[in-house]
Amino acid sequence: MEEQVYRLSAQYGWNLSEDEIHRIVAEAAVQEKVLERLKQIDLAQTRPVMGVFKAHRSSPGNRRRK
Amino acid sequence: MTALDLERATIAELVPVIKAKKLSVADLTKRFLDRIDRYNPALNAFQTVTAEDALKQARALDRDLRAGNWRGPLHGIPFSIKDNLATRGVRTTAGSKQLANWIPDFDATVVEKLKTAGAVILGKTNMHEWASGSTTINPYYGTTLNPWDRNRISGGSSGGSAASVAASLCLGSIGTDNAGSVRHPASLCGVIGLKATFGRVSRYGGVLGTGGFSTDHFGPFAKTVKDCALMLKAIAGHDPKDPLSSREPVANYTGAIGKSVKGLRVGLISGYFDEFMSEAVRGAFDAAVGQLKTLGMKVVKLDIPHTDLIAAVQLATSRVENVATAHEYLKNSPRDYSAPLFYRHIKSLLIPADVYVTAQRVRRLICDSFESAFDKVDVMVAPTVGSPAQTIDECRQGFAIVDGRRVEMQDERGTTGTLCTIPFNVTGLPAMSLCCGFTAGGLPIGMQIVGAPFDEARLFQVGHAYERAAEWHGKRPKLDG
Repeated sequence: MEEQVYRLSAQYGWNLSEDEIHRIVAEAAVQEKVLERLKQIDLAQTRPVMGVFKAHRSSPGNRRRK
Repeated sequence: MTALDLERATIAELVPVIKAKKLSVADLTKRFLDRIDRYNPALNAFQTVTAEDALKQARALDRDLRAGNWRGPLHGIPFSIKDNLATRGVRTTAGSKQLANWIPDFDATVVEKLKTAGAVILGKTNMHEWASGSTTINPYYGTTLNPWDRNRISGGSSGGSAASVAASLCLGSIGTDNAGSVRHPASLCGVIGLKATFGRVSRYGGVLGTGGFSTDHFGPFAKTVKDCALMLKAIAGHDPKDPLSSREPVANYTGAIGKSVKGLRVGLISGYFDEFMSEAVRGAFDAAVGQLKTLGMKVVKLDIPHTDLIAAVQLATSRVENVATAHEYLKNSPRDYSAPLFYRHIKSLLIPADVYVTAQRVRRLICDSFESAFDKVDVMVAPTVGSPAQTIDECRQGFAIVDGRRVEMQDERGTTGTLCTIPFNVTGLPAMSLCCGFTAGGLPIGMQIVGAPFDEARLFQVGHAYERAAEWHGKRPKLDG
């Protein structure tokens, strides 16, 4: 992860200090742990939410039509 | 109409007064501008006051009335607008240094709709930098203070909007809500704040980078549920400029107001919210549920699976979608972000694409779980924020002591103050915060009423019944002294 931050810093021209890089890497490691939990459940039959809210299948009108 | 009390005035009460020309729009506008002159220097709710434009609008609206052209219930009503919504000819900063001098040449659709409905825009309200936090302690435009206690935050990110309504500097406002940014400050300032169903209100003209594409919502602040319903009616509806706006017909929101709630089922979600509630919030929330029972509603306990993953889904979704619009600023003016936000964007760039997609799959499970629960209930209720407004000093030190234990403002899940509001950004369900009590020290406490998709009318029905029974909405902060 540290390497990724160095690469981003160079790519964007941020000139991040060593202290800044260490801080970001430490915080990113905590973030990664939170996100890892997403991969711990069975999603074999689950499709992603992708811009689905244009017309809700369970809006009040649709529910009444059931 | 010299007896007009601006602190007590509501939109609904002013409609017949303005329509009958007993009070001119210009006079009403001047009175609110005087109030802004008097109280805004201390509160810092407004960042930009557009007095000249407002008076010009007001005089034009008076001419309309004299010509017999009454535009509807918002005719002549003074509003404020959060500063991440584009306003033609008026500086729109998004609370950022990068956009300090941006003057759009167009109006956001919500602003355009308000103007068409006859609203008078008094100015733009202060907000958390790039809408990326919940304190409205802004390093560039100052801190918006809570009208109930000026040592405390107004919440955020739409803190200026909430404070402007709570302090009666206007009669309504429009904010944006990516993680609770309407409902959180509404709760802390004791006003109504609504995030309607995703897609219900167009987001065209919102500043990119102030919310995720699929988690952000725009919504009204008001003093009463009825005023909120009047505002939603004016701003809701499909907008060809926003491809994610819905074609679902706009309901008759005010028609639901005043209907009995007897026999309706109210859901209490087990587990998730319990972790966050302070004793004061727990007491007020339980009392509010008791009040709903007294009104004849039936309480149903709900077990909703996967709520433990809501924070991770929100984090992966909104941060990735947000940073995807920040490349120009990250390349050209990265140090114009405050350091915490700059670092947060870098961390967001480190989230892999497969994690984002996995988050959307988990999100599907969460959405399905919540929507299925609406087979058993008509609405759900939940606290809006786990504890009342923190002091500005507590926010600066990063933690508060609540009920004898240390509560961090940020933890690994993000901003802890919005953990009660994010479930409805992840699911897109409509959620309205309204005042459900006060602490012993006089700070407001908020409760969310949550509905099935596009069932905002039900929120207004239940919210109005509760509001009339509990009468918290009649309390106003003391601004003098």
